[in-house]
Amino acid sequence: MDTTQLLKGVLDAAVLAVVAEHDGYGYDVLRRLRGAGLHDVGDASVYGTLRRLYAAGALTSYVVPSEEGPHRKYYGLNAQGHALLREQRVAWRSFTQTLDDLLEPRASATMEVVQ
Amino acid sequence: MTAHVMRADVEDFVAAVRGELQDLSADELEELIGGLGADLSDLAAESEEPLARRLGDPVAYAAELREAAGLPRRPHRGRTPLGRTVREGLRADQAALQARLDRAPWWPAVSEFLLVLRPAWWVLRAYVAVQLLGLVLGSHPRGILPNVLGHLSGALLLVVATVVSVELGRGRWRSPRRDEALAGGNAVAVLGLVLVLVTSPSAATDDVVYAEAGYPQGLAVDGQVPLNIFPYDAQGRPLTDVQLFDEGGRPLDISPEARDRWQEDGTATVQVPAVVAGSDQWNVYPLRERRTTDPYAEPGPGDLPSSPELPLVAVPPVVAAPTPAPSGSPTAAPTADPASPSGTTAPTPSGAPLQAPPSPDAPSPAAPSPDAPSAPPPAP
Repeated sequence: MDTTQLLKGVLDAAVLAVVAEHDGYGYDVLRRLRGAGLHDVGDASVYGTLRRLYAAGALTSYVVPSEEGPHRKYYGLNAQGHALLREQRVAWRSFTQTLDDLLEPRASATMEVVQ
Repeated sequence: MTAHVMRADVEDFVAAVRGELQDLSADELEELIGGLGADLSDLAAESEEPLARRLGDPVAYAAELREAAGLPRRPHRGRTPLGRTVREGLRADQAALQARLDRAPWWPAVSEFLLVLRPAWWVLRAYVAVQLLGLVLGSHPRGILPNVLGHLSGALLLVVATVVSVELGRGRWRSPRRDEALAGGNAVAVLGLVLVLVTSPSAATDDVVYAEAGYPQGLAVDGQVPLNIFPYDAQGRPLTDVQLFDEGGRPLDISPEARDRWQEDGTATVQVPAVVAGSDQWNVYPLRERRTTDPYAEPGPGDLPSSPELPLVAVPPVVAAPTPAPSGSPTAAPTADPASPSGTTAPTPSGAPLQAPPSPDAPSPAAPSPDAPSAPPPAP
């Protein structure tokens, strides 16, 4: 199954979940997503998603100045973002449940031949 | 924004992405790529792999960024649907090729090697571009330095072109449209390189008009062009108005290069053809000549041609070879037909009736008698 297509649908939820753990800047969020096992996620997609969620009002952002390194723009979850994340969790559970049931091998002659 | 300087390749990439997002407002742009430089620097520091390969095409990157950010796609200003399809097709091909290469085990090593050679390519394409310009303007390539209406201008152009090419390679003046133009220019440079390599061996030979023609036109002896022919008869006396033909009946015309010649004193020597059957013939020797200051002007009443000086006053007589039996051998005296192909060694000077222009220092050979000997011009 092409995971990139699957990811597109759930990247919002994944990003929200990561940022909910603790605030992060673009590259940081990307690294955490990849570390969690989403190796195929494109960095442009992550940065764009962060911006979209911010524009939609689910994230706050603030710049952390730094002496030796570049200034970083951090994102964090606000109340609306937390609410959105809860919705996404529920939706996801429901969806995976439905799909699990659908994909479960049925006990019928034709299905055995296919397998 | 950032306190420290980013790596050049990161900067280039960000600039290219920014180029693709020109249509966005300043705020949106800043939102989207404000932190991009820093993030990409981190990404780059992750591994040794060159950044350009990891991130791919900045145009595609920008498009992905847009899409994920929920922003509308970039409006194609004034580009035709056909152009768009072609462009997208090319990008797809490029992406497919990239994917194939990435799967090859030897690709990482080769691509590293090629990346190191990139600056050399920048210099080479500048050289090729200047050479092409020279060829287009009609300057023949001569030697290593490019010739564009002169070697000095060629060298100056080469310096300018090299600087421009290197700066383009380093990512200056970047924009998506220019990137496409640059890709096209690179393709032209590759083709031009082939062209230049093909033409350069011939450039080594010197471009004397002589060599370019391959062989001189008209009569030539060992590559040299005789300026006139002086026939002598069997007794060694000089002949005039001798018509010469080859075995195919083609007139042995004097070379065009001999017909008008400039002398050192600024005058020109113009040869005057004889008139045979109403038309000028250049195969009647020795050709008469006249000196003039303006070879292109019509000859005036005083501009009479004269017979040229004989190179040899007299030559030894020919010892007649035993003539073969008369059966079938064409030893008949030459007829009055100027087109007769048979050359003979008839003892009598040939003299088909000619309308040779009168020469001031010799009696006019207007006598139609075929046996009348022509008076020899005064000896020098």
